[in-house]
Amino acid sequence: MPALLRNLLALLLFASCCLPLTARAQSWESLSAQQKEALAPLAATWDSLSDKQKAVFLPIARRYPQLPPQKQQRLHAQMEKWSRLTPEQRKRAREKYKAFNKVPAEQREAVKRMVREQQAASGVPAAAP
Amino acid sequence: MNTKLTTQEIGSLLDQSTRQLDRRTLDQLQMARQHALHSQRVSVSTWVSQNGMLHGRLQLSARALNWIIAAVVASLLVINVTYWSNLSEHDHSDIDIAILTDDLPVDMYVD
Amino acid sequence: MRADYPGVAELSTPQQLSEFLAQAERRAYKQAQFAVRDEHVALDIVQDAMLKLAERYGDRPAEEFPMLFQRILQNTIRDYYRRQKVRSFWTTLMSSLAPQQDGEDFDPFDTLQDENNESQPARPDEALAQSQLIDVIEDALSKLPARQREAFLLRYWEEMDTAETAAAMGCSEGSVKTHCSRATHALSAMLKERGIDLS
Repeated sequence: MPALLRNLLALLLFASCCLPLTARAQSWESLSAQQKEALAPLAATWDSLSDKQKAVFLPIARRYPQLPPQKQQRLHAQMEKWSRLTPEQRKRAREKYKAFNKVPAEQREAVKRMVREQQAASGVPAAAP
Repeated sequence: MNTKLTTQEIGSLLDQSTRQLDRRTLDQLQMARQHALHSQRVSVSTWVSQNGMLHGRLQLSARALNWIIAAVVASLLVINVTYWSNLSEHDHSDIDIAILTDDLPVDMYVD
Repeated sequence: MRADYPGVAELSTPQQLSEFLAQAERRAYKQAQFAVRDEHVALDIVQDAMLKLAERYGDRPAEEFPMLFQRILQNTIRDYYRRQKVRSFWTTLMSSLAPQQDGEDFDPFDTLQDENNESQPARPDEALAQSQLIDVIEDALSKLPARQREAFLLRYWEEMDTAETAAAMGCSEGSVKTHCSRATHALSAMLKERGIDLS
């Protein structure tokens, strides 16, 4: 039944186009080089993430190459933390982020300044034996 | 009535107090210590692909193959539907990237 | 200092770090608890400090561990205060604009604070059993300003000398002495109210 076979193959092809992610999302090894680069901080933990978790990051990985280097760096620095949150925590974080962006600019700047100061002050100074 | 104390005695009373810590706290401290000691060494882990298992050749009739393909297509479609309906988190890459590349650390947005 | 290890300038072995942490962890936990008055946060702080010590200085000579560890511990505690400051500002800001969020979500410390009411005030008119005495002392220590408590505990509990305390606190020996004598004064005043003479 070559005709049926062809049809089915076509359908299969169509179906796989609809879900470009799941089929390839399974293991770290199966990711493309570009995806691996974008998701580098998750290399160690990727295979232990659930599909839902992975699905959070694959679209991010897709857009990663378009980001300026500085943002790429920042994204990498925070990615691992993001992956450890529960979906509910991420949802709340998004809400908060949106809320925070409605705050007047000078207050936003004040928070950022405080955080910068706190970060600069933290970190253990090199030990002098 | 008055109790007299020296700073040394305060020290030994505090020692006494550390001996009275509850089991749970002590266990947690011990876990924390093990965790710290573990990261003292540089551990290099290797991740071996689990997919290396899918080897071998299938020899099936064309008919069986068709059924198999049909089954695969059907399940792919089912997965597809559940995938898109389940992954409500999926649409958030815009805001996720904004959060992750923001000046403020992610922690600030986490409860 | 408490921990004496043979082999002065030698790099430490994992065994030595393990021994050091095992004998220091309870006091570290108590110190953190006096400072933050919350057992979960205190555990986090100790865990964090242990991790930093192991990661950054895990191969230093074992005799340096006490000072390094104290320094890291105090920094971690201070870092916690700073984060708290930012967080409370943040919380006020966010709760002012998001009415659906009830504030409790933002501040785990409120809910944890009274979970275990460890420091019961002792009655001054009854003879103080040892455990009550400990409670009174710990309560008084918690009320000291951070630097004073730090100096007092390092000198009289960790049994460091002034120079070691100064190194651990990252300040001069002169300030250590000042902090220490203020701490002792404040403590005697607080303990006197409970019928205890500190000499």
